[in-house]
Amino acid sequence: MRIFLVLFFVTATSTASFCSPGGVLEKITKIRVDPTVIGRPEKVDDSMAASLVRFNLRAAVKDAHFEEGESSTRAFIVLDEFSSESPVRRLIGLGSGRSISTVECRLIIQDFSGKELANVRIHVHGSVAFSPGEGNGAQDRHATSDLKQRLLQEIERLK
Amino acid sequence: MTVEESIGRSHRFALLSVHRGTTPFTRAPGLPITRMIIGFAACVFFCASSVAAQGEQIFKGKICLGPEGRTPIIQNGQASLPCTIAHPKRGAKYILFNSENKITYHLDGHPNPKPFAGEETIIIGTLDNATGTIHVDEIVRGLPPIVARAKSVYIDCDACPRGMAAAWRAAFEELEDWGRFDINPDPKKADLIVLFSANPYLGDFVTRDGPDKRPVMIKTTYMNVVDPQTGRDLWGDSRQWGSLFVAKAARDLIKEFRLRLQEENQTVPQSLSDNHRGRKTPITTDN
Repeated sequence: MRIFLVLFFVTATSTASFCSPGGVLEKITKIRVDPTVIGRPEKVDDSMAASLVRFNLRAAVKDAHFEEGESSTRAFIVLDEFSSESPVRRLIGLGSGRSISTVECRLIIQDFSGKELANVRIHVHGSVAFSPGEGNGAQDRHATSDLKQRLLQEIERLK
Repeated sequence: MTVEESIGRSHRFALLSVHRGTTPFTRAPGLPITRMIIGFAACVFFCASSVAAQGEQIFKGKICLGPEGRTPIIQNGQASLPCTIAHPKRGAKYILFNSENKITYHLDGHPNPKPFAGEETIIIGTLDNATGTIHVDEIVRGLPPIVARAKSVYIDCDACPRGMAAAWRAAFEELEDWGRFDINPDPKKADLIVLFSANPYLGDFVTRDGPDKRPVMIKTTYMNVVDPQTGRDLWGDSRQWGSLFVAKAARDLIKEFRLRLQEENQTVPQSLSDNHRGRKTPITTDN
């Protein structure tokens, strides 16, 4: 009897996890990426921050196999903080060509009526500008950034 | 006879003729005659150059090798001439063929139009209507129409280790400031690829699998505008500014490309000509 109970429990758990409802992006194929909203301008020290962050989001949307374009589902980022490397650190890493930034933002997904479907807080201390991958495969040839990788993770989670 | 001797002779002759009164001008009281001669010479020089400049025009088209009266071929609804011939006949000369109005011009005055053969070019020169000949002042490689039509670009930094990585960000900022193109994260959807590298482009953007395996020494920053469908190099230039100035080099290259694209729509020959004379690096003519 106990064996039957254990078997029933295992089956029920696996079925429940397999049939669990998907994320907010489950049936979505196309996403519109809106311009970045700067939440706290006093904490954003780079004039290109908004454009760079939006580009990262577009790249993440593309890598998550969503089509980017006119759609009722909108995605954008609210940028709360963007600080570039200090000049001293930049001088130390002069030869590396890689610049490290600290980004504090929220990834917002909205539907056609403006209803918030997801609001994910993201903190990244890493690269925002794209640099080529180090590997030898064809996929590694294309550039990436730490912020894009983090956004991609979050988008995949919302699928 | 040395140069100094010849200058001395001519100067002496000028003085002699002034003293003998062979000059048609009478001397005004208090005005030195030599100044008048210089003023007259300057007037003649500038008047002549302005008259010549007035006659200059811009001609666009493809440079092809003669012979005269060749019939253009219609391919995909567009008229074109077979421009490169393996064994041209003796005496064959280069011509300019404009596929839009289907007019052929003879070219005269350029020492070597051969490197431009088969290319879309912009020619600054004076047209002799009687013979249909352009007296060429300057030939500039034109940009293919795909560049002028492009709406989006993808920035790629190939062979970009260490300090070369700064090229991507610099190019992104410069292109954003320009605002002419949408910077697309998908190379398959972009109209053009803006490719940065520390190695010269080999035309293998489409065919090469994996990263560039050539050794990289960051001495020169290369920028190539590449057709994403064919991998063809549409425009390219470089800056040999070392590894510490990669970002600056990338910005400068984008600015040059921007200028080049603006020139494409220019109709005033003098400004186009001046831009090219003031350029730090000559436009490359080879792919």
